[in-house]
Amino acid sequence: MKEKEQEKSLIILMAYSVLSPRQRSEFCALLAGELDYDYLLKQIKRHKLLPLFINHLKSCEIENSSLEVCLKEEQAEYEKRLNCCRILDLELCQITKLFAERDISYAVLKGPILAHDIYDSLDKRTYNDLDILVKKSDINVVSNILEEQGYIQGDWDNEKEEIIPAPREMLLTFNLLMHEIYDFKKMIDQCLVSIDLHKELHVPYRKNGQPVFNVDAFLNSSCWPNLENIKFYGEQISTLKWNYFLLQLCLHAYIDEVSPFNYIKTNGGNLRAYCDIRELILSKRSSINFYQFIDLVEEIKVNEPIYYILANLFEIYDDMEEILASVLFRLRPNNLAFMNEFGYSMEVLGEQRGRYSKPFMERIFDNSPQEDFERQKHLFRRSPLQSQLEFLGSTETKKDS
Amino acid sequence: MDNNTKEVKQKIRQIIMANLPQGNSEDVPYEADLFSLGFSSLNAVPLVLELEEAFKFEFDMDEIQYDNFQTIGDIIKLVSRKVSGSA
Repeated sequence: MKEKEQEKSLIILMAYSVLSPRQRSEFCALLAGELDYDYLLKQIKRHKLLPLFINHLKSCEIENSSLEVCLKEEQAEYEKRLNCCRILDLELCQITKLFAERDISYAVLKGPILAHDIYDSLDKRTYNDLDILVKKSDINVVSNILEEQGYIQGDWDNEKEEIIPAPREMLLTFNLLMHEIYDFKKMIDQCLVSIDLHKELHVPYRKNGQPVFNVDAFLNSSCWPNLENIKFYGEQISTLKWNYFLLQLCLHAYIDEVSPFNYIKTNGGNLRAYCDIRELILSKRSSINFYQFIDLVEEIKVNEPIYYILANLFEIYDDMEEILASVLFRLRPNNLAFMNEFGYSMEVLGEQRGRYSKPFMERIFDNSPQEDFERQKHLFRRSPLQSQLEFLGSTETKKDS
Repeated sequence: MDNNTKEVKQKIRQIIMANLPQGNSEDVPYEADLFSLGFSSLNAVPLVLELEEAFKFEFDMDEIQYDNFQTIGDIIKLVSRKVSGSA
């Protein structure tokens, strides 16, 4: 008999933003049964499903004192997170206004767009930081704007109760090894606001050390068709056109699942990422041109990452066949070995790949990704790199939205 | 070329050579592609730090990119501009 089947069924149901009447009955019935709350809560946290769980819980009139006790701390954290999201939103309004005044092209990614435009409810989709795509050529100006607003590239020190600037070596390592900009942070009303500037879309390979997708050209003000304006607290903010937003979400989810760097932080990906993608596809179905999406994927040669994510999406959700079947058919590579592999071609790590020991639907419920990586770490080890990996793994930054 | 400029260039070259994977070699021409000699992002971090320390300036993040670090000549051009204050 397989273990934790009821808990696993509950978790899968949690990864739907809206439950059908049949699903709601099933959800409430499972909750009324005997459950391993420790395991359940661990999985809810791992898969970032707490907001959805709390929302679905409201629809069940269950008196379950054990569950209430378990959830008390999580509920308090959730309320605090909601409050922080409102502060993040205000900061986002302020910062994007400053960008517009100085004619800086940008695209807000992930959290705030998903919460306010896709899920249509902050209650269901919280976030920890703001992710903003900007041109490489604007990084300096944007950094200055953030610094003028009191942001510091550094980390919160609990003892000193202040943000300590990151050492120069850390800033350079993020820029040169990870091609990222170190987070900007500011404490506002006991909420640590973190802004993640991106100058690249997460395409998991480079050509001669250069990104394959030219963000600067993409964000050029003459390329407005690539950006979408959405209403945000009565103002307008820019995000990616939905084809590109879907691309970016899928690529980010893929990197979270297969990048050894990200294992250290995310334990091999999470169900919320798949929920985000499903919600986007369903809510923007009429705006996403899947033929153009396929062309885009083939143009930048990311068939494998996109197929990986969409095929797994197909496995999790039983209502995506009509939309995804033809997309998967077009994108399907000949060799599907990569579906059970992690690690990918990177400037630093090279061509090595490890193998998962379990199929996707099993490993999302346990720690096998971590164990798989630990067991095959030797594939990725180069002596000058090992200390860099440990150095980067020890940072407490870069929390996911 | 005045002695000051010559000294700056020699110092820059010295730092670059010390950070190349193969170690010191006086035979690497100014226009040789450093990345084809095994130079990578891993070497770039200590190189950038040493250049900044030696010449007392900080690169802007948008200056630290492939095009500016491809050859010894590229790096000398960038650092010289920073040192003279015109970058």
